[in-house]
Formats: sequence, C-alpha cells, structure tokens
Amino acid sequence: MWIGRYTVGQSIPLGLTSTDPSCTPTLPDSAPVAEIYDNATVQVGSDISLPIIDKYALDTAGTTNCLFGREYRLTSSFSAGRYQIIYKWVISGVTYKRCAEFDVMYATTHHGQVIGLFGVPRSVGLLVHVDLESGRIQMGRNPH
Amino acid sequence: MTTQIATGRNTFLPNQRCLTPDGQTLIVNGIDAAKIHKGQDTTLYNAGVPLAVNSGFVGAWGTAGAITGTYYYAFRYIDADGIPGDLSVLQSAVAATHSTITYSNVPVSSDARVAGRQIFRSLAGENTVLYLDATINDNSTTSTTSTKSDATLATQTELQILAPDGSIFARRFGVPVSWMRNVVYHNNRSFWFVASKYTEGHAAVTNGSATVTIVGGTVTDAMDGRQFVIPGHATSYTIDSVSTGSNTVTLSVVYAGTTDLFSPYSIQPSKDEFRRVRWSYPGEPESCYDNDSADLESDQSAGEELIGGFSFNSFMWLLTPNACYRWSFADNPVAGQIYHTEDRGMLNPKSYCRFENTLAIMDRAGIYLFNGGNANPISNVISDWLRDNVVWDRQEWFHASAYPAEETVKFFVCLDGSRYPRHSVCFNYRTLRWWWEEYPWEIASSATVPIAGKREIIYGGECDRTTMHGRYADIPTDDRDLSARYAVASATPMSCTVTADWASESYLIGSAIAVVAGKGKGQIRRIYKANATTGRIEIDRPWATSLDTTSYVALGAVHWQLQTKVFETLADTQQKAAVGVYVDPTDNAASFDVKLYYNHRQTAVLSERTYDSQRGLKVFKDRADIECQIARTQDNKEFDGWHDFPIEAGFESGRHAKARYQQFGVEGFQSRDRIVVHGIDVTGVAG
Repeated sequence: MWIGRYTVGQSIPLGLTSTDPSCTPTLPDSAPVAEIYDNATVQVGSDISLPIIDKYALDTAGTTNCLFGREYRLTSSFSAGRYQIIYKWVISGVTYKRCAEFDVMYATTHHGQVIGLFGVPRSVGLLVHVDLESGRIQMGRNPH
Repeated sequence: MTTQIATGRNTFLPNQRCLTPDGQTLIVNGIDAAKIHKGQDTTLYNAGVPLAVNSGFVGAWGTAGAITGTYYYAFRYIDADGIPGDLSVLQSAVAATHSTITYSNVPVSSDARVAGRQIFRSLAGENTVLYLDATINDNSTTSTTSTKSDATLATQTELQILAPDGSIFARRFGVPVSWMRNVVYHNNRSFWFVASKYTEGHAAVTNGSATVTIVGGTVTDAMDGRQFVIPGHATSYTIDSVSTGSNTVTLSVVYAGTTDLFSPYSIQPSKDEFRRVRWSYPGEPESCYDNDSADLESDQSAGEELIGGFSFNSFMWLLTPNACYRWSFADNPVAGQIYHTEDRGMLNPKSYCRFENTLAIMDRAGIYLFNGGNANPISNVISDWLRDNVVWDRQEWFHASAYPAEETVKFFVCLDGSRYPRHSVCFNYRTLRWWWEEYPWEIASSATVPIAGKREIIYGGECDRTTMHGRYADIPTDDRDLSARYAVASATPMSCTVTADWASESYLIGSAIAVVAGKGKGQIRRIYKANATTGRIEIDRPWATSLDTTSYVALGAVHWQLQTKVFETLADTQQKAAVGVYVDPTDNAASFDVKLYYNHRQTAVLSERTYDSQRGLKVFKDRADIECQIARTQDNKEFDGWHDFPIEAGFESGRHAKARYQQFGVEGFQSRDRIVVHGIDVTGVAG
C-alpha cells in the first residue's frame, strides 16, 4: 500500500492492526515493529516500536482493539526517493509481516514543525525562540 | 539566520516561557529540567544552580598560628554571573593554635552552568552565620586554603543560615522542580505550576518485576523520583532510576499488578502537585525553596487540576479547566488569599491572548473575554458550531494570538484529524464578527511580537518555517512576484506542467497550489517539487478531478469564503430576485464564485444552463458556481467592481419561485492581488 508523499521533516503515519492468519484482530506477544528500507534495501534508522492506540476501544464484536501506530518524523537519514515499510508482529511465536511504501521529496530541513514561538526582547533587537519538533530550540533575529 | 541553542528537548508537551525583569528567559515543559536562556547566549543552562553535596569535601587545620576554636564550614556552587546554589551541609573542624585551613576534595559539578565554588566558614564557636572564606573561580580545582583570622573573616560577605523568621536562608536557592510546565513572573517572583503527566505510547509491565519498558515514548533523566501510575491500578510506584539508553524506568518496588505488555500509563509527580503553586525568592526567579508553595484547596477547585494561569491587572490568576481563581497578596504569597471568581477556565496554558487590557480565553465551553472582573462569554453565537466541529482530543496543542492591526484574536484549533491546528476561529473585537480560517499546512504555534513599532503575528509552520501575517516572505523579489495564474499545459494524477517564471523551486516547496479555473476548479494541493526549467510541479496528493488544458492554477493561493445569513424569499413578484457583489478590481487576473443555497441545504443549486454575460460573468450547466472575473481590465474594458446576477432569469427557472429560504456564498482564491469584498446586495428577499 502506498501511503503518500512526504518531505523530510514531516511525519509519516505508521500503523497496523495485528491480526492472526484468519484476519482476526489479536494482541501480539509484544509491540509490533516497523522497519524502513530504501530502494537499495538498506535499512534506514533502527527498528521502530509501535505503541497500542486506544487499547480499551472494542470493535462491534467486543474484541479488544489491536491497533498499533505512531507518527514517525523523517530525519536527515532520509533522502529523496521511495521507501518500503515492513511491519512485523509475533503472535504465539509466529512472525507476521505487512508492507507499505512511501515517497520522500526534497525539503530544506529535517527538524520538522515549528511547535513553539516566543519573542525575546534584547538590546540588539527582538530575538525569537523557535521550538522544533526534533527537540531543537533555535534563536533567530527578526529579518524585518 | 538562526542559531541552535538547545537540542534533545522532549516535545510531548509544548514549551512555556516567561521573561524575568533582568531579561532572562525561563523555559519549561514539565518533562525535562527547567532551563534558562541568558542574553544572547548560544546555549541554554539548567534553571537554578545545583545543590552542593559534600561528597568527600573536608577542611583541615594545620601550620602553627594563633587561630583556636571550633569552626563550621560549607561550600556552594556559583555560575558565571555569581548566582549561587544551595549550601552544602555544615561540617566542623577544630583549630588549636593553627593558622591555615586547607579545603580539599572540593566537589566538581557535572552541570555545565557551574563556573566556580564558594567556601564559607563561621567565626569560632558560631554556627548561625557564615562568611565567605575562599572562592574557586573554576569548576575543576579541588583544593584551596585560607589563613583568615576571625577579624578578617568577619569583614567578608556574610551568609545567614536562618532567616529572621526561622526559615532556612542559606538553602533558599533550590533548583526549580522539573514537573511544572507553566512559569509566570509576578510581583518580583517566578511562579511554577501546572504539573505534567507523561503518557506517550504504552508501558510494558510484568508482575514481580521492577523494570518497566516504555514503548513509543521517551524517558528522560528528570523523570527519576516521579510516580509511575497505571490508570485503574490502586498503587502508584516511585521511579527509582531511569535508563535513557534502554528507555526503561526502574521502580522502587516490584510491580504488583497484572502483567500487561500494552498498558496505558502516566509518569507524573505526586497527586498533591496538581493543585500546587511553587514560587521563588523575591528578585531571584531561579531560587525555589521547597516549602514555598501553596495548594488550591480541593473544595475550591472541586478537585480539578490547575491547567494554566497568568499575571494580569496586579493579580495572579490560576485556572482549572472550568474555574478561575484570583490570588491576592502584597509581599509574601503564603499570606495571600485565593478567591474563586469565575466558572470559566482554559484548555491549556497557551489558550489565551491579550489585547487592549483584555484577555480572550478558550475553554471547553467556548471563548470568553476577561478583564479581571467578569467573564464575558462571546462565543455563544457559535457554540453549536464549536461543539460539533472542534476535535478536542488535540486541545493540548491549541494556541491563540492577537493581531491588533486587524483588531482580531485568533484561536488555532483542530477541526480535522491533523496533529496540530490547521484552522483558526477568528473574532474581530471591534465589529464583533466571527469567521474561521483553514490553512494548507499545520500551524502548531503563534506569537504576537513587536516588529518595527507594531505588534505583528508570526506563525510556526512545517519544515522549520516561520511566517508573518500579511507580509511577503523574505525571499528575492523575482521569486516572490509570481504570475496571478498559470495555464496548465499538461497534467498527470500527481503533477501539472505550466510555463515557469520562477528562478528557484526552494521557495515554492510546501506552498499551496490551487485550481482557480477550468476543469478541476476548487482543488488545493501542496507543492513538493517545482522545476524552474520544465515548469513541472509535483504535488502531495493526487488530483481528485484530473486537470486539462482548460485548467488554470495559482501558486501560493489562499482560499477564502463568505456566507450570508439565510433570507426568506419575498412573495412579491415585483421584486426580482438578484444578487450583486461589490469588490475592488484587481491589477492581475482574479475571480470569485457566487453560489446559491436553497432551504437550508448544504449543497449549492446547480445551473440549468450555460451563460456568458460578456461582462466577465459566466455560469455553467450542472455547476453551482457563478464565476465572476474581477481584473480591472477585461476585454479591453474597465471593470467597475460590481457584478450582479438575476437569479430567476439567469440561473434557473421555476425552482427559485418554490424556494422559501435562500443563502448566498462568495468564495475564491487570492493569489497575486488582495481580494477585497465590500458588500453583497440581495434583492427579492426579506430578513
């Protein structure tokens, strides 16, 4: 399944419902893992553990929700190109897999969303603190 | 040009900041240690200088002399500005006709902020006052000596052990706690409140094991000593240690509950902290004595936890999700009174903004104005809309800013499944009008800042992009002055090709591209590539309706929409039904669409015919848009800014007479020129 185009710095939605061979949602032995490979089948970054989402939500059959997922920010390890995601989960010792694809497009920075802004008046002028999704804090000066 | 000043901050919750009178910035997020930014430093330091711990520090008398008596000594860390931390525990050394005290194994701090150590000593036989005996002006030297007699020592800087009221004075320089995610400066003190809960991902817990693995979250050193809580489990556990490498925490006792590899959890301080406010010593915003705190009584707060607060109109205000409290005190907060003033609260520490000595605040009930007296609920007219449309799950990231130039306050909220707000609910506090805005990208932060003598709004967007309201981007003129619209030469499901007139694609990446005319009109996508040579533009998502050579696109376009109220159709057939729109003519190609809605329907009426007025107005069979061109020059004639359309005769027949209610929408895309709509005239209706 192709999940879309993203730029470096954006977050891709990783997610799956862990199912048994009859496609029945079933809790795995441990948290599923996602591996991401580039077109040269080189793994980019380390294995990504997927937390459970809304564990106590039940489906219409009264089955515990087995949806796992998270947002994963594309770091500088990703260059432009197509990538494959391999999801792995283990149920009663048996490993199951599912795959997906996405494209990465060019971007000027990998630090992601600006999640905080704060004006800091200083003697030289107004400085702005910029909080980024990567956990970085930058300080810039008003260009105007 | 920006400079990195910190990395590795946990981003589960947004940072909050406050300025101190000496121009420093305190930064908290409730997950990591509180930080301070000084001046134009290119790094952040931990707020507060760490506690000095003896750890082998010893003073010993030697060398013959005239000094005799029992002396007490201790040390503390200082930073480059001389700001001290808490004093270490007092130790004693006996002099018997000695002259020199040698201090050895003076501890070195692992905190990069520490720039030196101060060693204090008492006079002979005293232990209530110490004097500065030696200063080590680095964080590496581990020994020093002193030969000061009592007479000389008494002239040095004095440090009282106890304050006159009996409180410990020498240990008032405590490091601010790390679990409070809001800090406010008020009445010469910093106030720390709103305890945080870290709940990211899930926890794998095993019965009988003290090790807990966090999946999908990130543990930090600051979590050491906090509580590990599983919802529904009676026992909360103290975290004994943290391993950031393996992303695990170790509990002080083994987990006694049922093994669960996918358990929800919370890492948080003790329950008392959620209604507690801590404050600093006056004039020392980083000095937080542990006992300097007050709790919002449970009967005052109905058990609600503090969610935010601010300093406003000479008082300190504390808010829970559904209540507001005023904290009145003169000098010492502990002697003050906390009064419940309003049954309105706030969503998070950032869900408010200030204009003209009034605060606009958002809680779950809506938006209200607060001037320090009463809460004025202004959003009642849109309360149904807010309740039905706002996605409250992401309210932690909602934020607000005021834009005085347009007399508007904007509340950024999520109206769809985005992680961060992609919409804003806007209120003009002069005209008392409401509207909402949608943006092509998420806006996770905003701030109102002074620029060139005016207060401007800046927005935080994707890919480290900061934009300013109402201004062009700071890019070269050639790349800024794009065409108003481009004819599509060819298109694929994920691209279109136009004649390029831009020099570099880097300024276009991330911008919006909208189909403003022709096939596929109305679609908006994001630009991910824009080849300046071939003119091929790659987009983020496929076109829902494919484009062809009749299509026109605008780069960086902004969609706008107006909607009138619902009118009742007049039975008087002498009054012909018509709609007219007054606009400013534009210098470049631009257009807007008028749409008609009957009898409260969500879908607009479709035209039964195709019609071209030859005056810049067209309708199309089986389409809803009455397309109006508003460029100043059209067909070699000048457009006067007025378009009118006879509904019954021009649009469709028969059905209009049966429509009891009518509503009109005007919408379009703004690109090169600003679109200004002065008014909408509707005839043949009442109400």
